[in-house]
Amino acid sequence: MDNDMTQHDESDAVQRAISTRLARLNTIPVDTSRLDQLLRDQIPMPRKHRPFLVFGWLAGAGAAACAALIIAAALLFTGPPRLSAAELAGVYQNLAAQPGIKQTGSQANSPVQMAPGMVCMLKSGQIASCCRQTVGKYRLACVAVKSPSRASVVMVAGNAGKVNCPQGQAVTIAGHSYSLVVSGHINMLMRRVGKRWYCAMGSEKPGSLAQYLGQIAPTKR
Amino acid sequence: MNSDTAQDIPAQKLTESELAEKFYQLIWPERANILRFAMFLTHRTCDAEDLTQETLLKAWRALDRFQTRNHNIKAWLLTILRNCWTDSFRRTRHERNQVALETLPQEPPEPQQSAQPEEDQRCDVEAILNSFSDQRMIDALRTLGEDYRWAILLVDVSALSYDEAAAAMGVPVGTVRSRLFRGRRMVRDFLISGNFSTAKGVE
Repeated sequence: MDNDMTQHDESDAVQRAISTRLARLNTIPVDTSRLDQLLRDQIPMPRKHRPFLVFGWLAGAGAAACAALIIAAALLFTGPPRLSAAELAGVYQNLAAQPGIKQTGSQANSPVQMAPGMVCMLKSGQIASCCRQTVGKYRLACVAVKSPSRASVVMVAGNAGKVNCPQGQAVTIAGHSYSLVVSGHINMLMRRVGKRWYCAMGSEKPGSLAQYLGQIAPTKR
Repeated sequence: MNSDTAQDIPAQKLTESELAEKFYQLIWPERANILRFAMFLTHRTCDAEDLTQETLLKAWRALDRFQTRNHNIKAWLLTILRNCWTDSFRRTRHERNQVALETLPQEPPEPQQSAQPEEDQRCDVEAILNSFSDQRMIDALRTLGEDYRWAILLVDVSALSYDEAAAAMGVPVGTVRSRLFRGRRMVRDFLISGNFSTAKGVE
């Protein structure tokens, strides 16, 4: 009897030990990567998460508004690319070195009058040359002006929606706000009018350059 | 609790997105357990993956009938796995698996096999069993008849309760206990002797 009991207890102990050892098989690692791919190919991932289910379309609209705000903020703070002072100086060198290409006021207006309602009020005799130049992938309207001092002044107009003028120091001349950049011996005086920006470049003082910029003005005020 | 039981439960109409969410919440975390179980059955990775995929896709299609509160998801999945295995997989893959088993290289007997577990079981049984590699234990499971193997895989390896295992296998709880007892003995005999033929058993 005692022997039977001992055998029964021993048998239970072995059974438990085998069960415990077998349970450890459940910890053998398996690679589910191929299975995961097979399943994902057939069972779509849920499109919605819990918060969206709770708030419904309102949450979706909120998310869309947030996304729009983020995009708008990004555009507002980064804006279009900005030309460097060296790039504008290159434009100046090109035009100042070349003799006249087009010499009439109407021809000058063609590149300068980039925005509707804007007009170049320079006289024909004042224009040494005018053309469109490409800086990078951006087109600029350029006019070389004969100055009394014989030093060339080049005016450039650009589309502010596509490319910005170089960042400069804010200056006020005759009640108007300008931005001034000095690159070597060249002063660059810039002004934003509507969706365009205009720049007068030359070795003349900023006050003189401001007078040239005043030749480009809106036709209607 | 087999898949037929699930069909008796009134279906809740869920959208595809809700079903997908439920799938990735409930079933996806169990996929490794199901795949591992399938590998113990098929012994081939690709077959195990196919069997697991079939199981989980069936579960996905029946998911709107699964009641989270009343059922163990693992037990439900293993029930579906058993049905898949019984219905088609075993029939189509059986012969191939037999070939695979025969061609599998056998490990040389381990030194610990010469030990006598029954003589030292009061203190050393667990140590002796732990000295056998996982592969050796899997080899032992392979030698079992299918009913014994299922009982051991469901209760000992997958930690299902006797009731859940009985429901999955469609047999009374007493039968599960009996198969477990005999199955573990066959495992022990195999480990002691290393002889396939002595471990083969039928109920």
